[in-house]
Amino acid sequence: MTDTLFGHLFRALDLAIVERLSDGLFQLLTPAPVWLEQAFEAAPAGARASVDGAFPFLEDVVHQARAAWRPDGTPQSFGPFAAPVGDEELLLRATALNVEGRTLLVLERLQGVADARPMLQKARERMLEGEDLVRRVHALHPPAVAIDRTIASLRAAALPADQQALVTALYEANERLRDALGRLPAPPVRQRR
Amino acid sequence: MIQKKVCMLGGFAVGKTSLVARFVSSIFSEKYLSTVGVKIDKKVVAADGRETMLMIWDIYGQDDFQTVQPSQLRGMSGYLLVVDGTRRATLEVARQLHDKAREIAGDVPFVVVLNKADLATSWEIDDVAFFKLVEQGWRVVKTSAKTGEGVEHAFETLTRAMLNAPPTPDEAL
Repeated sequence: MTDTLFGHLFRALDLAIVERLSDGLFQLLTPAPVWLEQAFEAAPAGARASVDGAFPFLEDVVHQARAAWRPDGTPQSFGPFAAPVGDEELLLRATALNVEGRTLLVLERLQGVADARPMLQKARERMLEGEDLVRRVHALHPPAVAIDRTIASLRAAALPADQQALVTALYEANERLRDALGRLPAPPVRQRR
Repeated sequence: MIQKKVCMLGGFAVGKTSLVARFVSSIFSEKYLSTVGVKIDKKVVAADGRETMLMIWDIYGQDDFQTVQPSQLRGMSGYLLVVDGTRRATLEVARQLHDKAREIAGDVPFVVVLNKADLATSWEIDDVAFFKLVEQGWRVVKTSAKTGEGVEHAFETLTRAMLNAPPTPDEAL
C-alpha cells in the first residue's frame, strides 16, 4: 500500500532516487520516471545501471558529491543540467545525501516555475533587441553631425529673411532631435572601451 | 583513452551551444535558444596521433541573470572563449571570463573563438582588435557555427594545446 503510494508520489513529482554503489553503478530505488527509463533499461525499482553514459553530468556530480556522501555530510544540490532525452531537452537537478550510510542521489526534473528557460529566453531576446536598437541609434549619429554642419553653414550665410526663418526652424527641430539622441544610451562599443 | 574537460565560455547569444552542436552533431539551427544550466557532450578527437575524449561543458552565457560558477570550471583542462564578432561588447565579457577561469583553473590552454564569421558585413571586431589579441599571444580562430568554418580547427587547436600542456592538478592525481 505504502510502496504503491510512494510509487505514485515519485511519478507525480517526476523524480527518482538512485543509490551509488561501491562498484560505481547506480541502483534505482524508486520507479523510473519516463526520462530515466532508457538509462535503466529494466525500469522497475531495483534495477542497476551505469547511467553516466546517458547523463554525462553525473560523472562530475559523483566527483563533487563526496562531501555530501560522508556520514556527517549535509545534502548538496548540483545543476541544473540540460540533458537531451529523445527529442526533448530536460532540465535536471541532482541532490546528493547520505541516509543511514547509503549514498543517495535524488534526480529531479525541473518544470514549471523551477524551469527558468522560458523567462531567460525572453529576457535575453529583449536584451538582444535592446543592443540592436542602441546600434541603430548609434548609426544615426554621423548623419546627425552632417546635418549640424549644413545647418551651421546655412545660418552663417547671408540669406533672405524668409529663407533665414526656414533655417531657424530647421535648427530648432534639429536641436530637439540632437537632445533626444543624446539622452539615448551610448552604444556598447564605446561604453565598454 | 585520455579524457579532457573543456568549457565553453562567453557572453550570452555568442553561439557556444551552436558551436558544440556543429562540432559534435554537425547540425545548426538559426533559432536562438538560451542555455540554462550546463549541458555536457562528449566527442573523441584525434590530434597529434592520439585520441582524446573531450568532455565539452556548454555553460550558459554570462550576463546580468546568470554568473558562471567556480564549481563549473574546476577540473577543466582548457576552454574556448567564445566572442560574437558582430557584438564587440562580448569581447569584454570574454576577457572577464578569462580572468575568472585563470583564477579558478590556473594557466590552462584556451582558444579565443570569434564566431559568426558568416556575418562579415555586421562585423564589429576589426583587424586592429583581432591582431591585439594575437599579439597578446592568444590563439584566435574565426569560426561560423552556421557554415562550419573553423569549428573543427578551433577544437583541434585547443586539444593539441591541452595535450602539450603540463597536467592540471586534477589530471596529475
